[in-house]
Amino acid sequence: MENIGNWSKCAFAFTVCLTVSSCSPYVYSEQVGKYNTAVSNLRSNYSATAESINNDSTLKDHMDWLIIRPELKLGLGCTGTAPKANPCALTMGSEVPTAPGSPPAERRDPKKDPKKDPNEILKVLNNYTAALVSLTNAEDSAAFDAAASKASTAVSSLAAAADLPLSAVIKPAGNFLFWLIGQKLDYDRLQALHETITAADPSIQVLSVALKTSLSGQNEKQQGNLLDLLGSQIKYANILATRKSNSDANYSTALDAAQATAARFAAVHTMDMEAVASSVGQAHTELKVAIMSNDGQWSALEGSFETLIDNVSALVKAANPPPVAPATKSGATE
Amino acid sequence: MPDDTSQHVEKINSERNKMLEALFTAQSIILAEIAATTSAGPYLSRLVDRRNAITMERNQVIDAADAAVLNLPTVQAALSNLEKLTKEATAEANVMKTTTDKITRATNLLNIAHKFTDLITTRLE
Repeated sequence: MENIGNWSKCAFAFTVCLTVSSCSPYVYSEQVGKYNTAVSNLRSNYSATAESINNDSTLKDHMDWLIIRPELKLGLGCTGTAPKANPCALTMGSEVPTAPGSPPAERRDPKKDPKKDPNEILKVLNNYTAALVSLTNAEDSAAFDAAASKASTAVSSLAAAADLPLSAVIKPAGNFLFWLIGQKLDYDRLQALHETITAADPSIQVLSVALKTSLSGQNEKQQGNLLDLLGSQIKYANILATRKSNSDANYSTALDAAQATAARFAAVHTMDMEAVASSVGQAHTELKVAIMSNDGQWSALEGSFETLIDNVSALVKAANPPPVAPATKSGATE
Repeated sequence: MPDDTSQHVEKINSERNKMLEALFTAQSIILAEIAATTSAGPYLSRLVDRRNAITMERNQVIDAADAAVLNLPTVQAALSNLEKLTKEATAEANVMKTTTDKITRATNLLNIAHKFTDLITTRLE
């Protein structure tokens, strides 16, 4: 009975494919691919920015120590009993390593509690867009057609070798049968694409709202860190400026570093993270509308994608600005 | 548009931003004082400690807002729903690959059978 049901569905799919101009999931491959790329870039940029914030914080400590020359100590992570999430680092001030045997201070490990990691939203979104890419992967259909063609030839060859009387019609019949199966698989993928995108849209809208907090929060952290770093770099440059033994080259390097940080702060400060988060939801809605209406009206979709891609590109550019030209060196005497 | 979620998130963001604004003011005052302090010494060290404490406080406020949003039931439900749909879509996408693998394996068997038939036929002739 189940087979009869499946073949009825297949026959229906076949009929639909004859009557509907676009019954293939692969026509959406490019659009789905673009969406996946944008979300993927957003996710990797989030991770890269988190790394950059840590590096800036380490650099800021380094600058502070150059300025105030404190007594340095081992950090909390520099004990045999420290959790692996606590890296071993130098510290100043009151932070001291815990005595052997005493419980080390806890630092939250995002891997232990993945739902608390703001990057979880981007990870789930990215896995989803990657699944949409799988559904629209035309290479799978081509691989199926190639395998079906080989199978049909093999059946025909075997029938001929066994000298079966109907060997001449076995290959064409096999080709048709495999074509029908392929059509049904394509149709099922198209249905899955429709159903998945429709069912996912409300969740995507919720997550794009939640993403506003994650992205803007990370942006605030980065701004705060860059401001601290800039303050320390300026202070250090000013100290060098007053030292008689200091060379112009050292002063120039310190100025360049401060200018580069100022440029990074300016780039990060101008980013509208809420707009980036909104464009993720907006692009998905347009993708849903375009796929459901299936009428070739891609203009709204392309507009949304452009906004999303532009937003993500600006974000990546702000996180990785070009190096500042060392203008101050022109007046320096080496 | 998920109005309920939007309202909650906007409220959390608004509270967070108020706190960050206040801390930013404090951070700016300390940074100006650090810049104005001409010599290294205990006072400068204390200012740097204070600035670091403010930055830590800022980061904790941001983390708390992130956690509050991530813990919203609607956000958790959306994450779960999307994970479920992702699994289903991936499984559906793999059906064609599985079928292709089965056909390839069957073709290999047919080719072996073909060779076997050829061998038998040759021996019988």
